[in-house]
Amino acid sequence: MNIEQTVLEVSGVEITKTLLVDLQKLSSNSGEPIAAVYADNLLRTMRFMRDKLPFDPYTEVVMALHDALAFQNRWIDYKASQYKGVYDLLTSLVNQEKINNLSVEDSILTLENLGFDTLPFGVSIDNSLDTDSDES
Amino acid sequence: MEDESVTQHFLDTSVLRSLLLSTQAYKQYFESQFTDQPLYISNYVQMEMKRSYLINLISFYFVLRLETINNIGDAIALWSNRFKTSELKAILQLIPQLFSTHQLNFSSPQDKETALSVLAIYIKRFELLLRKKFNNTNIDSTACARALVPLTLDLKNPAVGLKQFADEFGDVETCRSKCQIDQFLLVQYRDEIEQLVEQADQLPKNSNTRGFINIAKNLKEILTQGAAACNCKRCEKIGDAVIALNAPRSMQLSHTDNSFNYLCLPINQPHYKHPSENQIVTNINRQT
Repeated sequence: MNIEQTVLEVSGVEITKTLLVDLQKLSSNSGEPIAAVYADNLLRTMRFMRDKLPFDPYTEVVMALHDALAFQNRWIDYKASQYKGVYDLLTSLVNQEKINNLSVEDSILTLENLGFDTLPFGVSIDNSLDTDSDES
Repeated sequence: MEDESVTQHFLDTSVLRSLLLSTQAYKQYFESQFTDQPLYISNYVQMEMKRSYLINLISFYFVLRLETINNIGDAIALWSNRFKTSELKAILQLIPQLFSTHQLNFSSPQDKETALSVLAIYIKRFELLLRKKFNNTNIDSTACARALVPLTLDLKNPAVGLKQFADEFGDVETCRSKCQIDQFLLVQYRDEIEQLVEQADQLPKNSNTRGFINIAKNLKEILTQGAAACNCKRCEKIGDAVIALNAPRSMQLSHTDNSFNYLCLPINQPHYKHPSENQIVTNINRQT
């Protein structure tokens, strides 16, 4: 098998499997400086996945996790049990080999239930967004 | 059997928006208030989020997609120069955070395509959480048709689904022809609306009452002019009244707006006004 063939065979399942190693390391090293080694690798792999497979359903799940972890380096704040939870979730997804939109939705909701804030970007509400209100 | 001592919270748009979109400190405030308690929203509240935020995100997607826009920076510049309302400024807060988190270069034409993809994935996720993160009362006596417009996205070609949503959500004449807001206001809750209008007439106009008085003024016009005065634009102006009237009386309506203090009392709707984001952040700063 040459290099070109290998590149063509990269799939959402395969890249997601590679994330599991870093997630396991993050789970066992959460809160420690060494966790940065695995967070850096994890986030880079996630963005590689985004660039290579932007339409893959696995990418959609991984991007939800990416945003929760990458924004303001919040990966530092998440606990070992949360990393274990997401490890279990992604393991279950890669075991399915192919996932549909419903699985994507359920997975993102599971991330939220595990405590990952997948919409972490704060929109300051100095003025109310709906026109009739009068927030004080 | 459900534990009757547990408070069920019905979220106004102001609180729903904060739970989905506010800063971490404000989200943590609400999480501490609602620990393990069931949270409910309605289709109408979802519609208000789509109207005030989702539709603007979609608009920004198409600004960025324009062939005359070379990069993310160009899209931000165009948006900030031309669109000034608070709703539209919210997009300017989100976009730099989202794209910076993805390590995108704001002046690179190559990163524009990645940005479109990232934004489509974000929009799809936002709509999912709006639809499924909270319980739905499944009660919308207005039968708001805009609330029912689906967003169906194929990430391989998101523009199609986004445009279809924008077309249907923006078709307020068709949506209005399907809803029952006139029945809701002029028949089902006519007595309550008359009471609210009467209450507003007796209040002094100040910063606390201004929002409620504006709502009551619009309700009064609807009472005077009848169904012809009911449209989606008017519904924007009376949204808090619709939400209060449609809230389950067995639940506590959670909000941050002063108007509910006046809307809830005459209709015996339990409610709680939460502090604003500024108040929470100021308190945290004082403590540190």
